[in-house]
Amino acid sequence: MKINTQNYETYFLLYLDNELTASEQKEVELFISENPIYKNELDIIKQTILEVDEVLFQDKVTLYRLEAMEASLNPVFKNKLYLKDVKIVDGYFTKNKIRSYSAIAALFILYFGYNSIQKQVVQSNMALNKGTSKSQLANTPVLIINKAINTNKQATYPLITNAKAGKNLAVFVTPQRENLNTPMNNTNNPNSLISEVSSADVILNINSQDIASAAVSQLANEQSTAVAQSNVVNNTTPSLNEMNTEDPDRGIYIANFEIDGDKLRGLSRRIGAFLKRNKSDKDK
Amino acid sequence: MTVQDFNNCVDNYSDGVYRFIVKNIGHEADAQDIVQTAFEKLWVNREKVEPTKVKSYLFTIAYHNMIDHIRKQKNNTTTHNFDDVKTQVSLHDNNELKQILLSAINDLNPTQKSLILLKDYEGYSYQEIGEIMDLSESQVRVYLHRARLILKGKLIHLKKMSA
Repeated sequence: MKINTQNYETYFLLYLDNELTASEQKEVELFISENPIYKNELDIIKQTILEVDEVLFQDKVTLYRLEAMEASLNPVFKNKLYLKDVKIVDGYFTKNKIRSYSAIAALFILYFGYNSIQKQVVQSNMALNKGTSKSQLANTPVLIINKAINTNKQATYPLITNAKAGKNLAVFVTPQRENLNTPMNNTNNPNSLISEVSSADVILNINSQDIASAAVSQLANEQSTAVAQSNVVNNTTPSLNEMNTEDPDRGIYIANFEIDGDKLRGLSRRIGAFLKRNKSDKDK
Repeated sequence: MTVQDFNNCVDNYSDGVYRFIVKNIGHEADAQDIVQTAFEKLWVNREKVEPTKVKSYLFTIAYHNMIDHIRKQKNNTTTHNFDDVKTQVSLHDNNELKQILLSAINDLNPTQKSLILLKDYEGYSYQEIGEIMDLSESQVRVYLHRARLILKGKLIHLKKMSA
């Protein structure tokens, strides 16, 4: 069957779909050259052919058989691809270190906090001693000796503390500016001491004759002791440092930190006593 | 078929299969699923498939999956129809004639559209298209010619309208 004006459309379609043999293709080309009016017909059919449009499948990785690829790899080559083990270095601040450092810091805070609280307590006690109420003072016999000393300080200095018959007797020296010119040579006489005890400033502070008299009578019974004490007072009034009965500074300094030596001493004594006791028990 | 052969098939044929499907249904995610299914089936049957028939095998699997997909879409009215396909496909082309042609192709039925795509994009012969689409060679020729003449008629009509 040859191409003609009745079947040219089918031939054109087969021609464009490349479904004709070489001889059939030549026949179609010859037909068009002989009948140019059909060339336009061929061109229109040619326009129905789609141009190749580039569309890419983006996720090819999802299609690859990677597990199978890995399994088929040479084991030696595969080992080279693996990451080598690296020694893991712990961070400087491990949990244990953080705990120990925080514990040390807490101890320091407690220690300094305790010291500061102690200082505040001492200061508040001193303030209370200056302005204590009558009832509070009535429970504590206090003997305050006004001494004329050549100083401008108005602080009260504890000098002697005696514990006898379950009662505390505190003797204070209160320097008075008003008495700066008062002679100090009568302190050897207990009576003069008593008279000084009942002087205006003392009574103003204490305002309790009974307490003062009780304290003074107790002191008068021990005249020798009082005389000795007053001598001490007399001798030391110009220089109060000599009457300082506080223990020497036993503070232990480590770098900028001070550790209370008294507390450590007490601790060391207890430990020593405990060890001695253990030792003696063993010896027995 | 080795793993390397399979991965080479992915490199060589995945784009063509994907283009064939996405131009038909116009939905990229569904087209990707269909392509993935086709390659999975190829992997499963890699020992049975002849190396020379791998491409047509992939197109065959993809085509039948696509037909199933289209049938499901027809039953499900909420999913996209071929109007969406028309819109999406036309977005790819700016040329006026190309747009008219793509618009006309979108009006074809899935079989005619697949015939056009397989012939023009992949250059398959009638026989190969018949194997892929499970049609005889004469059926491919008749259906394809009918599709071409529809496109030709639309082109002439649109040209007359524009003139």
